[in-house]
Amino acid sequence: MGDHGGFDWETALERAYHVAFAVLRNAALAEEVAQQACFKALVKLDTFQGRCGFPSWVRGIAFHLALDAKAALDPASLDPDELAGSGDPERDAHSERIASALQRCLAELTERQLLIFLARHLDGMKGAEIAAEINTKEGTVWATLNQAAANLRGCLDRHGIDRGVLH
Amino acid sequence: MSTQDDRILIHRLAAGELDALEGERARALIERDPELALLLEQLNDLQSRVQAAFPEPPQLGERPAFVEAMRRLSAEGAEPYGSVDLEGPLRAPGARRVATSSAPRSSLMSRLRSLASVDLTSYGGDEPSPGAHLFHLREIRREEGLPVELEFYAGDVLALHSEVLLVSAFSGWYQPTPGSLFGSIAERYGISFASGPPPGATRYPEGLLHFSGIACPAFDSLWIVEMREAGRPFSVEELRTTLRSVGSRLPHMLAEATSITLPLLGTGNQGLNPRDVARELLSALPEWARNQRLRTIRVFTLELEHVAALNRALDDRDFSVRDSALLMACDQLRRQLERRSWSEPVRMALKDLLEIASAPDPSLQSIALEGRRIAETVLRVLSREGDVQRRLLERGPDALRSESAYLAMPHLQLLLAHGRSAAQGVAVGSNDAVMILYAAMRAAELTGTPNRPA
Repeated sequence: MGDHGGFDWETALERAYHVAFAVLRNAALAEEVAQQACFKALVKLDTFQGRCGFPSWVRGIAFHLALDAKAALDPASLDPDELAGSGDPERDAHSERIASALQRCLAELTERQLLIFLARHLDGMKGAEIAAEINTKEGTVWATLNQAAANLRGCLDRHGIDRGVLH
Repeated sequence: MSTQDDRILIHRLAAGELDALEGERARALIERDPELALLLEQLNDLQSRVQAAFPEPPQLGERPAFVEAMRRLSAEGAEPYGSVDLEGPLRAPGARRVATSSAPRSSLMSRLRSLASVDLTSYGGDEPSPGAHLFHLREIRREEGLPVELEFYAGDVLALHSEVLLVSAFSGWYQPTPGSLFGSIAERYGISFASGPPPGATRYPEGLLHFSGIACPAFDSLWIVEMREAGRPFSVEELRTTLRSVGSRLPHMLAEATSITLPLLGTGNQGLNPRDVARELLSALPEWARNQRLRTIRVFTLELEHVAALNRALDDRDFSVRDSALLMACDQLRRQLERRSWSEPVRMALKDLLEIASAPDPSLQSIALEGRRIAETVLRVLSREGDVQRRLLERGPDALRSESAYLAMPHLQLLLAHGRSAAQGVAVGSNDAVMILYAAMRAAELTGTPNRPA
């Protein structure tokens, strides 16, 4: 199901929606961004060279689109009831600050690092599975994850999220 | 000081991917090296932070229509274009001039009405997902009244709703064999004619049957042309007679319809040469077009070689002739730009296309690339307008725009496919360039701001 014509749009849409929601915390906006990511992927299909799974590629597009949308968004325009939260404003603000910093730092990773990092940490894929999906060696996957983690730590430092937050 | 290998081992430990021996080694390393212990702690924390930063969203709303739209627009086999011979296509003796043009609005309305019964979600599930996409648009002009649109599709004839579906069969043989049209109708809709024509079927002279009263989502009315008994050869001359017979029966066939859909008759089990059939069909269509009720003829081809055969037959008939056809298309586009109101990005993209196409020696590849840009622009406008999926699923007056968007898909797909081919260095034929102009106009018309005379 979903793998139509070599492009699994259904999974792509789901993954795009997931990251878009994480960034925007608004289901309706996330759905729209996910669809925009699919449209963008559609018109750029000739640049998709199969170096990663198609849904992962679309998710990467959606992630950056969502960050752009968030940057352009006027928070006052959102209905507070539509925003996801725990009900504890202080705690939500703290979590939001860390989540935003993490997302911004993820956006600074290379496309390949981001793809591998999300496959590992968000999808819970094993190293061998990621290696198979992007057609590389497992050792390369782990080396990339190691580099991505180092980059993330450096970036979080710059954003004022000290290492203490991460441990 | 830890090495990269040590650190990778810790990554794999955090991911729970070490065997017992490796785990023991990793733990020993951690005891010796505080930096590695810190790394493990950070990785575990990072994992939980990522989970927190990317929470599971509420369930995504219904999405079959959107996914189906994407599937149609990206379908493999989106480039089934037979090469168009630009040198020396000759007008067949007696061939009537057939021009190309964008569809008039009234025709669009009738098609919207016919589309209203299509279940856009019917391609879901685990069933194979059939599809069809437009690969040529033509028009047969009439001395009186609006022209007849000729639409040539590659793909499954059941993928789009038909008012009148005309198919061929051996005489008295309507078995739902796998791969046949009757087989597909039986498999998808549970309608079988294995035991013979349904009650109330009407037989006309020259082997034409009307299977009336069949409730099938794929068509309103089913007509069969019988081509002798199974195993006996069917000649091109007989096909010609049959097509003439269909032409004379059009008043009956179109009693409640304005369009007719047919595959390349006789090219399946009947074994007729697809190019012969294409030629005969294209010769018969102008005669059919004399019927004033007829507004749209859709011809479907399933096999790629049949698409090529149709392309060659179109060239032979000179249904559109190189530069003159391109000039006509440019004129049409120019008039549309003057008379219609589109959203600004779409209008600008169309203006650019016109500029490229009307240059003294136009680059056909640039036309194809610009066509893709128009598709991209139209898609962007669509996506900006919000929830495409919901609009595709809606019904009623407010769904008019969504139905238009749905109708635009073959045109968008065509533009994207040609643009991709051109980007990859595939030569673009002049027929294709003409088609790109009309597809761009149609896509803009169907998805832009509501058309209104300026």
